Amino acid sequence: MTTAHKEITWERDFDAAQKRGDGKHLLVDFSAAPM
Amino acid sequence: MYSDPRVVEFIQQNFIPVRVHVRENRDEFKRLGERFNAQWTPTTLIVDSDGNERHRIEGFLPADDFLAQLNLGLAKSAFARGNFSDAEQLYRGIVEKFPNTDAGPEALYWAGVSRYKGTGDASALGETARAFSSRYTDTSWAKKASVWKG
Repeated sequence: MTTAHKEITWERDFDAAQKRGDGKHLLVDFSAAPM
Repeated sequence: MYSDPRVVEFIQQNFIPVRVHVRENRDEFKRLGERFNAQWTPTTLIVDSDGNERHRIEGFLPADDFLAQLNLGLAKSAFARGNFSDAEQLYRGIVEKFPNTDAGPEALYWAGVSRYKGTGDASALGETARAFSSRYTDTSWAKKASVWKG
């Protein structure tokens, strides 16, 4: 039995994420991490 | 810090996570980097639904410190919107759950301010100053609260 490794589902489109407007804050990660 | 399951869960529950990659999204990195004055990676911003930056984390942090900073951002946002009861609850949660992080003394300070702003009861500030006499004594937040000792 293995444990599923959870990962963050990152969005790439800032404007679309903001327009969705579900009241949540955006967490904007300026990153150089390996993709 | 993004590999810790607690961090993943907290972000998925409380935020819309958006990644702007310095190489994979060059145009967006430049555009949003200029808008938010982000010139270094990692820079992590908490932006409210109106597009206002409420908190900034620059550099890598261990999971506990990062979680504390994420909570700090939500608390600051509640405070900025005048939701002082929510802000106080969030700040006190940081002191309780992440007492040994840099966010701890900052949260203790602002919890007192939030209670005062929400209730008008100045004794909240004196209580905060007294709390700093037994913890976080060597921090700048203790110095700032010392004026409330009366």
